[in-house]
Amino acid sequence: MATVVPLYSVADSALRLWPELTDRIRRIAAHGVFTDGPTVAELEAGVARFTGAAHAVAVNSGTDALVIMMKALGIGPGDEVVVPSYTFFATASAVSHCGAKPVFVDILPGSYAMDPDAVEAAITERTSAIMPVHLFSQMADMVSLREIATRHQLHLIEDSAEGVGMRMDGTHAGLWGAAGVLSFFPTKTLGAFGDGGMLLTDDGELADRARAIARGTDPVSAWRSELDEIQAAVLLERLRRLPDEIQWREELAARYTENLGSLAPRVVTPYLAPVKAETQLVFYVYLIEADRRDDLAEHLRLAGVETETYYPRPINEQPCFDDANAVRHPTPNAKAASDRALALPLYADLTMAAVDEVCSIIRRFYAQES
Amino acid sequence: MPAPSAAPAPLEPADLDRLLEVVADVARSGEFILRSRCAELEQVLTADLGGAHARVVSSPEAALALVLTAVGAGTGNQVRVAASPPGLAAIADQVGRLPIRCKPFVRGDLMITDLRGADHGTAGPSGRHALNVAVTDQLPGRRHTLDLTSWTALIVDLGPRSQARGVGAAAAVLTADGELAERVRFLRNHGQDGITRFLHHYVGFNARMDEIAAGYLVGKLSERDR
Repeated sequence: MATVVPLYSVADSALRLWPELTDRIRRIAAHGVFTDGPTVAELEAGVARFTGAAHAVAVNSGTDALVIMMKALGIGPGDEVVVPSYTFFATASAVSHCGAKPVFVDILPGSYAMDPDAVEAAITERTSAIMPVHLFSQMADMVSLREIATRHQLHLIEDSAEGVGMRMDGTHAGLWGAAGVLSFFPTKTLGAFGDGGMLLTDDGELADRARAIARGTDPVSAWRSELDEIQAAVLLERLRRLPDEIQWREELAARYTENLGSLAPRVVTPYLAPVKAETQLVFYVYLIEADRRDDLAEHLRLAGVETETYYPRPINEQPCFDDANAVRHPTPNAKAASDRALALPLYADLTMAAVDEVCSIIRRFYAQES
Repeated sequence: MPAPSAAPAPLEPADLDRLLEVVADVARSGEFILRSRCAELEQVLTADLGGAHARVVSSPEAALALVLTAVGAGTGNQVRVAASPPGLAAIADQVGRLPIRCKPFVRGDLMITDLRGADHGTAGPSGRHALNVAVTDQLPGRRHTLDLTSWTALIVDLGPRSQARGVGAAAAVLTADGELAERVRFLRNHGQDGITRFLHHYVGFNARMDEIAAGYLVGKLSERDR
């Protein structure tokens, strides 16, 4: 069956921004600087304005931003960084690439973010930082995590790669602690036509150190990483449209929830986890939890609908991590989520009609089993 | 042929047209990173290097990190660097201190030689080191003067300041060692095998080449070879 609804597409958006993007590419071609040039500088200023960050440092990927963030803070061999076990792999590998050891803790249902109680229980004399991840649509409990970091005198840093537009108590994701990151991977809410990333911080010295590390001019540490001017051009055009796209994503998500709500408890739609502060959600991913998840995914695939499992295996169960290079606490909530989670198509070019069709296919699946 | 480590220069009109076409094609296709154009570029790079393997990656520095990790440079062996630009030695040092999970490295020390900006002539590995890695900004092919079989791996800079004049940071690892090539393939994509997503066999890197960079280079190199 040919794909009817892809997991992600930007073809229509690209057509809409093509005239302005073409102009930007012509200007880049005219000056001949293709990395870390004036377009990148303009993007850094634009993202800083959008997020409220004092400083934004562009790099080649969200993964590189994580590594550079931790290297700029001096995190390295002998240090432990507490991270959630339910996240994209880069959260953990970035810790390893600094020479430090990731400490995997469990998550909370609903938010899929690290459990503050589990974090506090995992802290040792080697703990250097706590790094929550803001997954899919909402932020971690930053109020509780900030209290813990303060109490134990730890760095609070954020893997806010998915967090563009998310705010808690008015503060943008990535700015609750020393620093955070953004990823501009193509499927992200603000996505490029290739890879890209950015470090966000209000600390000028940290920003300067991060930039030196990314340019290879820091006397101690190095992780050379540049953003392409062409990707910056794409991102600038998409940044202009970002508020409208975030709004559309919210409307699409509401439609999914309205259509699928009657399938509870076989299908659990996204909900705001209990929080201690006012939270602004952004639907980067519409993630459901479903009975017979793999069968449902296959049923959708046969009907031409692409889905993705975020994530089929908690990080502490990955073959590359063991007791020599990580601290692996029990993570039953992460395991339960990995057995049931399924991401449905969600992107700015998606139509309401497509959402309705996807939901019809899902309802037919469960009607068959009834 | 532009000088190695060339200064920025405006794109020629034909190259600009090529670039715009590639960007539009990538946006339409939805293939953004490490897909068909990258695979095609790997074929183009090894077309005249019988038996060699190419793995395209995000930058020369990332390529070095991948190669060092793949050969097990973190197991306490000495890493020497010759003629290094700023950052190259620091990265070699950083990677050398990382915990590495791959085949134990037992063959002796490793020499990294930076040949960018130099007249390659018939440059071969210097000294008697078991493993030799060179970084070059000159393209492989009929006119290439470096003998691939005498190097553990060649890292070819394909970025804007290289002979290839790419349109973003880019590089390739060339090697006659199939096992090394396979390990680099995993390591450049978060340690995944390219078949099963989110199953990480190694603590890999994000060091993938973009399809825009690859698609543009395929066109440029094909033109070169006509």
